[in-house]
Amino acid sequence: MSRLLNMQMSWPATAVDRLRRLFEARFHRLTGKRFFVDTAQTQVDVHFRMWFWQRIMRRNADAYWPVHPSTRVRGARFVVIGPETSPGWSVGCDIDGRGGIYIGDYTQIAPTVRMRSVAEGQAPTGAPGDFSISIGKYSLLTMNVTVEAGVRLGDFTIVGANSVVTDSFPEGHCVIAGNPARLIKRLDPAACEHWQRAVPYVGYTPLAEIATLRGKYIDPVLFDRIWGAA
Amino acid sequence: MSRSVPWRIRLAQHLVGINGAAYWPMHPDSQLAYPNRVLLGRDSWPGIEPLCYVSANMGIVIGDGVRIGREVGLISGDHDPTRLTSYVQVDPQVIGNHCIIEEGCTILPGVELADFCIVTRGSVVTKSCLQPRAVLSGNPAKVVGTHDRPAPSIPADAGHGYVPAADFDAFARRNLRHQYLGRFRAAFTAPAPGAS
Repeated sequence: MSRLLNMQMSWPATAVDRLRRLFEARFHRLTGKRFFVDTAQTQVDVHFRMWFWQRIMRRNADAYWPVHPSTRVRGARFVVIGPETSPGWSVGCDIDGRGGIYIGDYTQIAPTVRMRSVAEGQAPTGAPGDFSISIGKYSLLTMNVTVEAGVRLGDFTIVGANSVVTDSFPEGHCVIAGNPARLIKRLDPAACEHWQRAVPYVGYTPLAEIATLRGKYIDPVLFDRIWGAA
Repeated sequence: MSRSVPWRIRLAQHLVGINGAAYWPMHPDSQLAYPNRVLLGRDSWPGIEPLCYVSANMGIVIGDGVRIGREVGLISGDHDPTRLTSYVQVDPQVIGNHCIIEEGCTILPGVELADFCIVTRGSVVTKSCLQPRAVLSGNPAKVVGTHDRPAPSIPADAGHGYVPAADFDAFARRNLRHQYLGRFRAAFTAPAPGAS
């Protein structure tokens, strides 16, 4: 009872937690990669558990961003994400990127979001030349949202819970919800805030080193569509 | 005899430390934010099913004997739509005694559910439902009827999660963030009846 009176974790869990923190703090000394320390207080911080399942146990190993062990990512090669957004960082997401997905900067993605970039009943055709799903910057996909193939959402789109997005809302600055998703409310574009992180990270990679992902983790054609100018 | 915690969940929480900060049994594939802003009743374990999301940043009050299915979202904080990293101040979410929340439901911020409500699969509760024994359904959820299903009795030794019922008052006074508990905070911030 004394443990619970102080709302502490059990002593084995505390010991494991200490070890994990030590590992995360010293990780860059061993490998030169600073993602554990640099993403610590951000929206999508890299947890040791995610890193372990992806990089050691090779579950969702082709995803170049942190993914919760309970989510499934297919076709990560055709997914291009902006800084500080990670589809599948939350629990139970199902990200099917085989048709091409773009997710804009700082977009938040809630648990159990499903993205179906390949239309139902169709076989994925090799490398897609274009994005089947494109989600703008600073958007929010809330719980249990399903995004169907061929959907374009603009910046500052907020998708309500349990909705199925089948139509595009490319102008953004709106709240959509329902099954199928319909426009609920418009946001004032002037009030929307374009904020930025000082050291932005694209998944495990700093934004400054984004070019190293081209061809290795991301399909070059889709990569150049987003990052080509930079 | 209260429900026994599955050994896998005990292992994940108490040995590995996945969701280890929760004071109730929780599946390792569920997600939890701010466990000390949850006021939990007896015999209700939010997130015992996988893929739940208990986001208590603005406080969640859960009654006794609540049954919560998988993929359920208990969302207590509303994002500021123009700046998603900040949250709007709302009252805590309240879920009454013996509610049943079926799988795939989402309960949105500031919602209060009365006792014995049933939320059917995949509904989104956007507005408070103060009518006891209501059945809510749809997106957004509407009251589609009432039921008179007898609630299963709570076992005498059932605690508030892992905390025994006798100790819960001291536990809640000491650990919970009372400013997020709304009208329920008074019971825990007032001096204890036995205190001198």
